[in-house]
Amino acid sequence: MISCAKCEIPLPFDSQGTPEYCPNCRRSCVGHQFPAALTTTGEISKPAESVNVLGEASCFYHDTKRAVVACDGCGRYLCSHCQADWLGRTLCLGCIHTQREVKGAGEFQSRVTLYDNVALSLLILPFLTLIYGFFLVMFTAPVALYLVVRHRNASRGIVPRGRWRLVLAGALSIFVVLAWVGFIVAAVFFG
Amino acid sequence: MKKNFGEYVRIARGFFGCSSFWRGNGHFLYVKGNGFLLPFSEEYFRFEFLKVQSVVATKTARGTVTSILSGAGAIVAALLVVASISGLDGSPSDPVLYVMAVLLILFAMGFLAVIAVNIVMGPTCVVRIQTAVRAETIRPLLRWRLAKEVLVSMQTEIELAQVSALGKTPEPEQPMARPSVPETSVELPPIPSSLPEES
Repeated sequence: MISCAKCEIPLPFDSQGTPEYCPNCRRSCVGHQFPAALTTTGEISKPAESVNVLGEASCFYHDTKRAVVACDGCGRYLCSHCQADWLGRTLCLGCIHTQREVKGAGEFQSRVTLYDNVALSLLILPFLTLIYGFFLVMFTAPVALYLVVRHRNASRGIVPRGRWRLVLAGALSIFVVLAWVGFIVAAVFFG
Repeated sequence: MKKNFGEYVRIARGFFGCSSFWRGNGHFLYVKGNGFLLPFSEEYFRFEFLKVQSVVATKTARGTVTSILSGAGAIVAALLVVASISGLDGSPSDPVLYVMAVLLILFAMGFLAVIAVNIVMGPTCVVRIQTAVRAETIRPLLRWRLAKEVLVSMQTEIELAQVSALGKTPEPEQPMARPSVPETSVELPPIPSSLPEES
């Protein structure tokens, strides 16, 4: 069912299948419903069939379902419910989990923490408090430096990103830490 | 941010590179950034052409509301600038008033820039992509004009993939022909010139 992107109320269809206005919020809409919405499984694929003939290959995970393909990763037989097409390869969910969580392969990632941006924010965001930022950054700069060193080789996501944020965060945090150490030393020894 | 990498071509990007939307082989990739000013983490959503059920864009008033609020802010900032300048009288507090006036002018220019961006980029919208198990708002498709263009190209690609998966070939749209009146040899009875009188 096609629904309004704003209020999520189901939209009526005209002859072209494209609604022009949401009946609820009265806002202009452009959209389209595809054949996948009309199938029972919600996708263009056949449902898993049961094993009918004795000796027929069955799914590794469902022994009553007919195997239709072998996993490209581990070779296990899979029914149409268990196979997943992932970037041109047919894999089982176990292999996807291994690639994502154990091996950390880039194309299988679903979420990544951008430590370079976190470190940079720890150095910049305190200054939103104006003059208090100079004192806050005394505490956040060592944390930023730790993140830079600890996660210098961490994955920076699927979309290619340069290392300049990491380098900038490292340089800034070293500068701030040294400046504060120098200030404290000067205050202690030279009054 | 690069316009393409590997198999992906960028369709749209959000502010500060927080979120982006890419087209790949047989799927769309939505990179959703979470954070404040800079993205602290990224989530990746892949929408296969075969599994997309619907794509809808709905126009919103966010751009108009932002413009009105920015206009009000610019007017207030301008009035405060005038008040600051009129307060200059050669007293020791003059430098403070000067700094205040400069800051307020910068604020006013920022508000005006927001209005200019809204005028140039056009009205705003929300785009939602729906599969059987997920409905996700595509944040980079923020502008109505861009969203309509992207939706047309998305519709073509998704329909081609799904129709070919169903084993059919898409039929080109034909212009509708005028319906023809069938010729008949049966003669219609003559129309009576007057109604029969009641007995």
